[in-house]
Amino acid sequence: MNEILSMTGLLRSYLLEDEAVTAITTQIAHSSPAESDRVRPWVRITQLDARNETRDERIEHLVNYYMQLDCYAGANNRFTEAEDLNRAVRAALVRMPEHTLEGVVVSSVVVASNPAPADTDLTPARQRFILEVEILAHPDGES
Amino acid sequence: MAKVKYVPNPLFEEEVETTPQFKRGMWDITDDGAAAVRRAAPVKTGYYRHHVKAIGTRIRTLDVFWHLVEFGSVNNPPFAPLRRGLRAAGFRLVVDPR
Repeated sequence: MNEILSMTGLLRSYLLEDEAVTAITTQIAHSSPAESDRVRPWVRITQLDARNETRDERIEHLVNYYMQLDCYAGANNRFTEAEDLNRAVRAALVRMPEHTLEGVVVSSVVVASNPAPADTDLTPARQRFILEVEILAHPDGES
Repeated sequence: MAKVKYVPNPLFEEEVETTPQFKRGMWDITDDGAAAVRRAAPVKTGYYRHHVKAIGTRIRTLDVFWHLVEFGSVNNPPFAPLRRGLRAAGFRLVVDPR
């Protein structure tokens, strides 16, 4: 069994089951949507790092996933829309250790930072929140 | 027995940071931190990597588009060299816009 989890995929499916998040958007992926799909808000998930926290380098078990989630406003470019999405995603992530997830145990979720720099690559600059989290997790059912 | 009153000095950290001993101690640390950031930087052109400097007690990136490299944009993935590099070296990024 491959013990390295797909944290991007796990986060995507987890957030798609959260009612507060899906009430705002279902566009959650590892890449930005196509230009024509940037009408609704979206979340982009990027894995920045995944450090082995097991005190034995031969065993890949407990991993600290360092993730960035970009919460973008839709075409109306309202700050509050990006903010509401960010709040919903953040609240869902913080509750993650309380949930029983298939094949994975999430021990902790720590928000490392949460700035709100607009994305100046779009014209006009699109409202965006950057949610940076550290997720400590290991596969379920392992010793 | 004499009474001793503790008066907190709100400027303590600021004062310590101006001492030559502190600055000298920080030089090696900022050199190590800057090296870690360079290792984590993308190497497409090498421009970003060559513009990460340890200057005194600070690590600076002199690339004006550092925020695009660090946090990404709709068209760019976040490479996060500052965050990943410093984290790997045991530090944490605090953005100082000065």
